Amino acid sequence: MDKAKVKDNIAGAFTKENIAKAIFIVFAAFSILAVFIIIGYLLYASIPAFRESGFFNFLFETLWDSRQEVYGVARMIVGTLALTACSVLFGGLFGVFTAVWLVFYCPKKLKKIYTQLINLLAGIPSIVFGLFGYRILLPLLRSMGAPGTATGLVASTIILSVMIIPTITSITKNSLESVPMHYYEGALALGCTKNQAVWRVLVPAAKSGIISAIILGIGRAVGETMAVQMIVGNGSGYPGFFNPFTTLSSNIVQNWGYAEVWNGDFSQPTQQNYLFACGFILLIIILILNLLLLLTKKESNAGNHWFSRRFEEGNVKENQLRSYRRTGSAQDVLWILSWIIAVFVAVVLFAIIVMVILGAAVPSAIGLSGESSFTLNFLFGESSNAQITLVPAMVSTLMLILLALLIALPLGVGAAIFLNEYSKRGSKFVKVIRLFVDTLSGIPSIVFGIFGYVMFVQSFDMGYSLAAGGITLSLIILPTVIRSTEQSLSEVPDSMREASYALGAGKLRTIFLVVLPQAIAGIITSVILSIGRIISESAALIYTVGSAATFVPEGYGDNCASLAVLVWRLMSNGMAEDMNSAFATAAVLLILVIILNLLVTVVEWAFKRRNKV
Amino acid sequence: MKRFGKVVAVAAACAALTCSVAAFTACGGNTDSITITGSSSVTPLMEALAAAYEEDHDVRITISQSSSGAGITDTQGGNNDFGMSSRALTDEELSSGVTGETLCQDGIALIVGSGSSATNITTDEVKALYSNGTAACDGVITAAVGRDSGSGTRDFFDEHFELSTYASSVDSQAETGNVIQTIIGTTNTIGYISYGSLAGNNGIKAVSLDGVECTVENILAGDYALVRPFVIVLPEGGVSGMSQAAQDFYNYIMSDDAQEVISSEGYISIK
Repeated sequence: MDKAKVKDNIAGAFTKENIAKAIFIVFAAFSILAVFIIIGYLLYASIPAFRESGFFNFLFETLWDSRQEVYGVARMIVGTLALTACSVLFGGLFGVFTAVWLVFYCPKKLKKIYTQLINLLAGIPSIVFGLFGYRILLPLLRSMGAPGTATGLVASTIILSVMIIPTITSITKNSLESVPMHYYEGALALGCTKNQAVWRVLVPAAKSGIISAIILGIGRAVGETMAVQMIVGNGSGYPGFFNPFTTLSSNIVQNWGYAEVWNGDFSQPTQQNYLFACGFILLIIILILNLLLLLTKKESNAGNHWFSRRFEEGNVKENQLRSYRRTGSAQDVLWILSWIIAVFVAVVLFAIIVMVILGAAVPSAIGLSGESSFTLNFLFGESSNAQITLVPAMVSTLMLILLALLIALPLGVGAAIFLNEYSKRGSKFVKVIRLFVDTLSGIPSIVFGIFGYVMFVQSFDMGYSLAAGGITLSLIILPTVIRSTEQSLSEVPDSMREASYALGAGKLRTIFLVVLPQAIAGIITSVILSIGRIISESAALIYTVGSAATFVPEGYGDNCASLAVLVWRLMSNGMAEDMNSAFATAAVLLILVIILNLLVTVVEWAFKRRNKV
Repeated sequence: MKRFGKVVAVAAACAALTCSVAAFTACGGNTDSITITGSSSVTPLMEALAAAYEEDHDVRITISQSSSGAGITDTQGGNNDFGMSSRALTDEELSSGVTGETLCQDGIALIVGSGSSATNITTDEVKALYSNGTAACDGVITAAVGRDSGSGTRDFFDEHFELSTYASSVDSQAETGNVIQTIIGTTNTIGYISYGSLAGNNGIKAVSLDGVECTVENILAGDYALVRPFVIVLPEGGVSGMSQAAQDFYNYIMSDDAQEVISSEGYISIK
């Protein structure tokens, strides 16, 4: 081959298309790398703990006492599993029913508003749920005669179930909406009533979407730290209805601040290593869950087996179908149930918002003493050690959002483009990436927090800083961005890509000018979900940005609490007026979330209108 | 191409916003800055001291609350100007070069909800309640709240009452404020908090321990048993190892003026 030809070939390899593809691959690979670094570091830091006490001893020992240097997680594993199971049972049920109601039964005028309500529920910071559970739900349970301090499985299940409803509802809703209309029409043509068509044809057809909704719900439940930590009671026993218990994540957040820093010596583990081991066990639980779900997904992908069987059954038992219609069927009961649940979820949402804002405006209404902190001076006044205001925390929150999105959005969208546009569908490589993205999203935020602390605060010597917090947050929101962008990319019909190719556009041009604009609503949703997650986040930030909030940060190197961390800090200070300030801050968070949601509606409406023109 | 342009425009807008935020926050001036981290029990007092100091000094005092252990670790690692601890430093911690200076004394109050009929609890009752869940005060107090196992307050409490592991019915709360908020409104629950945090909270009251009331007089007289020191953790090299601004503030909190603030906040001055 002569040299000129080789040169041409090399030049040919560096076309815009190939460079772009390489960049997307690198972005997708970054996600895997991040997961590997986190899991790898967790394993690395857990090994001394496992070596010192023995893996099975650690697993089955029931005592955790740093003074006797005995560390065991048996009762925390039981606690985490029991709480997750209970809240996914209730939250899952409520979430799926709400989604079905929303898609099939909701009056048309109400649909948009109700979707907004669900988004709003998703945006409520977990620390606000914690505050609500802690200061309103627990006293309520106590006044109803709950023994002791009323902490335990009942209270934490109530709060956690409500917290995972929006996750499950929104994903289930998406997959229900993507079931083709002719399924419904076909079912009606075969003589089904609307309720039968919905519950026996459309819901089963969306099964894999519902399952993935529940995975996300489980991830959220296992990962939840701050709200749970305030309500489970962190006792040394096993979970009971009103018996304080500890979960793996609440154990980490409670003890991390006290744990002696590990000096890297494998023969001298400190409590930090045992806490890393807790995080590692959480990861294993999540990996097992993901693998199980991968298996169930495989089954349902095999030609929609279940659905076709149902379909045939419907054919054979025509008489039965008719009798259903006449007598009222089980599906009719489900229909009524879905109405009740949907109304109930809305009532719960309003109750939380009203109680928190009421608590901020009139503290005595919820049993707090002292003056309301919900004043202009507290919101916008100059902050000092004599009187902390919200200005520093607001600036800090904004800076965290910007930094995290600047890092995670390009990475996440790039990875999603690679996954959906470049890789072969169903290839093993993609499956592995998905598994890792699922794992990343399942990692509890407190684990990100301690990882961020060790990696950025200590190893990179950033100290408690907004930079360390922002980078940690970008890792947390990365799976959200990847997943929802990928979801919306995959919903863009192939015919649009084919049409674009047929008109002579290249792959890159097709992606940026045809596919991405179609999926822009989904990307915006992912940004909103991410902002919600960032605003909500407290567990990952306490040990990365620190908890000072007295002065406006002068740059990304400063230590400054976000609004959510400030709520935590104020409620743990112990003074009556701080509790009122915590409620005022929580109310501000809620108002921000409401404004954010309204903004989104406006943006989406604008996009839809433009697309029509 | 129009749409692509819009995407670019949005990205540019984001970047501009970041820059403006950075620029806005960068023009804060050249005020001296002091960072203090550590015990959440000491934090309210340190904030009061900082507020008094800031009145006539142009300085930014950033107080980040975590725990005594973290405060000491931060000082060892050079991550703060000085640390706060609600317990004396251990020999191992001292061997790394940091030193501790006692700022003041703090009592630990046993608290119940203000509606409770309990007024006195004995040492034996506390031991039985926390280690076995046995009801105390003639059956009035049936539930107990403690702090998490690394807390300096709990260390001191457990050492005094010779407790090791709490009964499974005992709540462990992460911070002083959480203990208070759990107890407000109950009549049957007891907990323990820093004496300085007792003032200014309406829903709770202190009970006597073995008939001795938790008051400043009794603490000063040595009658009330639950007293622990608040300690300032100095970096290697002591006072001279700190920045000038930090030295000035440290000299202030150890001065007589500061002791007045300490007393008025409900803590026990040692001078």
